[in-house]
Amino acid sequence: MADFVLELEGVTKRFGSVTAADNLSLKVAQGEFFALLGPSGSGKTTLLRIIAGLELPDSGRVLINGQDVTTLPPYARRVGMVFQNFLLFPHKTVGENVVFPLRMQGVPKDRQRERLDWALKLLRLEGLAERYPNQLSGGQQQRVALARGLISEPALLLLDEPLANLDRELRKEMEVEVRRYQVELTTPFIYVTHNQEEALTMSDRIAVMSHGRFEQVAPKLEVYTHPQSPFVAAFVGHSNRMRGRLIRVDGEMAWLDWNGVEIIVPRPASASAGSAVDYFVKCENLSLAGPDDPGPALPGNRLPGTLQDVIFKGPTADYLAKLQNGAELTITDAVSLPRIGRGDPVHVVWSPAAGQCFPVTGG
Amino acid sequence: MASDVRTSRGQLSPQARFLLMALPGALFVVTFLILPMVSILVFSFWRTESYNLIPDWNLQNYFTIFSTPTYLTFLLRSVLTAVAVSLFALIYSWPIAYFMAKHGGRYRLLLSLAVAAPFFTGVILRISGIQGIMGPVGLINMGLMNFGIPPVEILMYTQTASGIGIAYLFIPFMVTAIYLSLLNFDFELLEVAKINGARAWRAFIEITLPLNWIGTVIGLILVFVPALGDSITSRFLGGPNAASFGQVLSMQFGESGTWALGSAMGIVLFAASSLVIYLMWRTVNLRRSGFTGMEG
Amino acid sequence: MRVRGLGDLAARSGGALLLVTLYVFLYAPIAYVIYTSFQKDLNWPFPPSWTLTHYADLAADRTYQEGLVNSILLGLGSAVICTLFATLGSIAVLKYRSRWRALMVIIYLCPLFVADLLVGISNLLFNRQILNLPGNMGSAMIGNAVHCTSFAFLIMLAQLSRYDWRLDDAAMVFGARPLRCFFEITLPLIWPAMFGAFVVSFILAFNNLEISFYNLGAIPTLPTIAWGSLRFGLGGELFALAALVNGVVLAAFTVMYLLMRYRIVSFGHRE
Repeated sequence: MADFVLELEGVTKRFGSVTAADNLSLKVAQGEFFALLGPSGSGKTTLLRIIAGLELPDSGRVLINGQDVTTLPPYARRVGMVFQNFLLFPHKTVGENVVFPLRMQGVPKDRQRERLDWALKLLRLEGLAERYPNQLSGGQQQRVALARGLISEPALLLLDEPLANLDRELRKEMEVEVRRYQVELTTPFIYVTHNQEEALTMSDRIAVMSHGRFEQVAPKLEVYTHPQSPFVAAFVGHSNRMRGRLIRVDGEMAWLDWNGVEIIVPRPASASAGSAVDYFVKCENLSLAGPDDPGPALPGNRLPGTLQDVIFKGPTADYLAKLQNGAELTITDAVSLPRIGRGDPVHVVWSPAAGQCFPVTGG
Repeated sequence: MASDVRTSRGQLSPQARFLLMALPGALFVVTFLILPMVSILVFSFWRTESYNLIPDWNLQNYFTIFSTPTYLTFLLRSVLTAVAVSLFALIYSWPIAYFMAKHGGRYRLLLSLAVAAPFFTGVILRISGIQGIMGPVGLINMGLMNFGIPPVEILMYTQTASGIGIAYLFIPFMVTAIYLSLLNFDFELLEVAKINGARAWRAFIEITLPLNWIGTVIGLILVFVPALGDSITSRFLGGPNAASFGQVLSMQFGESGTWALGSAMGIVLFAASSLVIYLMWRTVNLRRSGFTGMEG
Repeated sequence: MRVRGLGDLAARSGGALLLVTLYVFLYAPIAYVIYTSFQKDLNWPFPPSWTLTHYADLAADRTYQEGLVNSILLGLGSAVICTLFATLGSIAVLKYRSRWRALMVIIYLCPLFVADLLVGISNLLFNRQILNLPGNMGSAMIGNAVHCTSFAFLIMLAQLSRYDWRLDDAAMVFGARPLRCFFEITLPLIWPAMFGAFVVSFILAFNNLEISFYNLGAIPTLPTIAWGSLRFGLGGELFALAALVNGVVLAAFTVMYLLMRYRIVSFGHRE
């Protein structure tokens, strides 16, 4: 048994002048829930289709359980897949849809029935086996698609934005369920999504993709708290971006001139005074203080401004503060703040290390 | 190179699959339509002698066609009839196809099949049926005479009678073409147009017609081409004063056996229909047709 | 609201009325043919003098039976050939992106631009001069099939344009080889379109006069018999035969209507 269920080695795929997968390498182990996160057009679905065998890479190798399957057609790979629009066969009943992979593999009839019962029970679809797909609700169709993907105990399950077509409530519910099945079965899931909440809720590790490249491959918490590139910093979580030039550097610290306001930032490697940088801070790492509150003793940033608006989000709220330099910052904080309202003077406070600073590339 | 090897191991490239599936039919059409057409193009520059084609290159056949006033009259008459019939068919068929597609409900397949079902009866029998109804000794005229009313002369061996016959034969093509196009049309788009203030006819002009224009043009071609090449209807319903170009064309392959001249007439007929089709196709803008099949 | 409802109603009944006029227009000559088939005098069948002699003559005359068999053979052969080519061609055009796609579509539609008469005579001369082939059933089948390929192709294209080809991807990922995938997934979903293409091609070839006439040589089909008998006036047997064919069609339509009326079979219609 190989150490990894899925290995990609230097997979590259071009469509004309567009590079959908640029020398991608990846290892996924048994029991992992792995998310491919990226905006549309970032190449994540192409990568999934290469793993499934629906696209042939221009170069590189795909290994499943140590076996090189790069040139194997999809029907010889025995992976499971859940498609974006479910792609249930409209002329087959739920039972026939779910049992389809086993029939294709020539599994004996009684074993098929056994597995079908197992799959329908796992996905709470009992009693629906005789229905046709167009007689099911969205959530039920989703579970049928999952059952069909899982019934043959595939080496890994590929999921292509499976929740994108569900309404918000159902999506929240399914996120938890999908995660539960994965934990129960220990089958590795490769989950493609453009929705960072889905990726953060369900997965163990995340690969953030952009323009056919991995921007960062790391456990989800690390992706969230320590983004490695400006793209990841901007794409994952809700961040404020502050662009400016470094005035001076001192050890680990640097001073940034952001539209005439001076803030302290962590010093990016190889940056010196005069470098143009982007500094990202997640909204929830900023906090609001009244003008009279005493500041923390540590060196930190404290910028005066006025409160523009409060967007109530339930347990938290987004506060929009307009600074003296005209820029706006979004601060996510508890709602139970001392009552402040629109137009009140506030101070935005945060520790420099809460954000990440990157040199501006190409400019 | 690498991808060639992979191709040989079970996965054909999409390009190869496309050609594997599309080529047989295309070769079939090329062999049995385009090659024969090219061959009559060649023969049109030959001459016929006692039922044999002689490869004696000349332009005499075309000269004959364009210097014989009767042939030119027939050609012009055929073109005008075909244009008139196509336009009538267009205006007549649209509301019918629209009604079938929108209000046909679960019977719409049956309604559309009923438009095509007359084709189960041969052309000659159907035309003799028309003759029986509106010919000089047909139901209408004899009925009128019974009541002492003079017969409707326009129905008696005229160009109009011939035109009605042609329309009769080919309108089902037009209705079916527009109907098939409308089947793939999203009628909810009209609601959007109406909500945004378009009246019904405006919504039709702005939304429905452009999005179904390809189907409409195909319908026009389906009516225009056989109407232009008609040789049977005019013979039965038109009489001697409404002879068509197709009629003299087919005569070259019958009694007179002048195949080279007939080939030249065929080429002229084809050129005339190609010109009109070209003019119609120029009105098609694939990007604005909503025809998703061709966008890539 | 009321006014708009009325306008809608007017448009709808206007459409219905036009459809009825079309049916009357299309079926009046056929009704006349059926009526005449029961009359002694074919040329002026009024007032009616009913008879069944034409049907008796039809049953007795082998020529018409032979013609009917040949027509059916011709129709079936042509329909099989062109449905096959049109199915493959339309799937290729809809499923795969290729730079040859536009060219292929144009080639498949070429037969639409050539009148029957021209297909007939060009095939006649091509076969005679170049292939040295006398008129025969095969040539007539091919000539008709070429003509019908465009129709079949257009029908397939219109019906399959909403087919989701990713269903085939799904089947392949779950282990279906291409052929299995075709028979398990594609064929069950596209057969109504294929059937439609087949029926239309069959009817067109069955009753084709101009292509068949020039390419059949001496082999009789119903349209060529009708054409040949024109010199002496159409025989009553032809009227009787047309009446019988229409009887079969009417029966088939009635069955279809009843099946739809009582929702036994929907023929592809989804509520």
